[in-house]
Amino acid sequence: MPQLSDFIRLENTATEPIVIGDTRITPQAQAFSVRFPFGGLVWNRPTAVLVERDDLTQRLPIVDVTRVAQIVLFGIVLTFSVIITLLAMRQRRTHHE
Amino acid sequence: MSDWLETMGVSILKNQENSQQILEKFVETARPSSVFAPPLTAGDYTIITASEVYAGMGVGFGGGGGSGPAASEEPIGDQLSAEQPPADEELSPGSGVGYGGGGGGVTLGRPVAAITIGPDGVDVEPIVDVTKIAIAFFTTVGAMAIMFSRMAKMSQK
Repeated sequence: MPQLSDFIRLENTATEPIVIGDTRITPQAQAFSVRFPFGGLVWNRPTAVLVERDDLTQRLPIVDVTRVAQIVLFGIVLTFSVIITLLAMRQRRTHHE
Repeated sequence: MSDWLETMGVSILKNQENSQQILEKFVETARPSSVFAPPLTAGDYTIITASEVYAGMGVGFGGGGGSGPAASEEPIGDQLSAEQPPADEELSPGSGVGYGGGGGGVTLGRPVAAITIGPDGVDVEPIVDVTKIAIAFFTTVGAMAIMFSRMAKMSQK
């Protein structure tokens, strides 16, 4: 019986480490894939970089500034529309009373 | 007729197998090497570009059908023989079948950050898509203006 994981997958992947001088870098990515019998969709985005230097490992996250800005703006519109709807409902009630 | 149908069925199955193979290759775009570009070195600095990658595809197949010769049709009840089709038409060959298929796909990529490796260490510099942010901003302002005007009209009533 097919399982949900056969169709929808979220996996964290990493490339082969890149060595430059004494620094070893491992880029990490996250892939979200949806598969249908006759089609599919893949969304692959970078998440972080692992930096290994002098026996120290540091994880540098990759932030998608454009996406963050879009989400913030969408959140503002959503909040604003909820407030406007609530105000309109209150105004109607006061008119009826 | 049945041979033709069988041939068509085999053809459809082969095409479906091919589409599955294409899908398998397509899912390979989920590998991280499609996100991180090969390192570029300039002087003491090495730069790796990290991009967001979307890919989508779909295929579809359709079959057809056909009708056999009219000889199989028999008169029902007390139907007059004059209403029956002529004998040569009864023996005419059956109509054909149709088959079609199609597919489409899209791949999009957008740079997200640049990883810089230099003598000072490793830095992750974000790449900002100003056009996308501007479009989102003006859409937000437009939506808010429409809501404000509606609110103003409602308060006037």
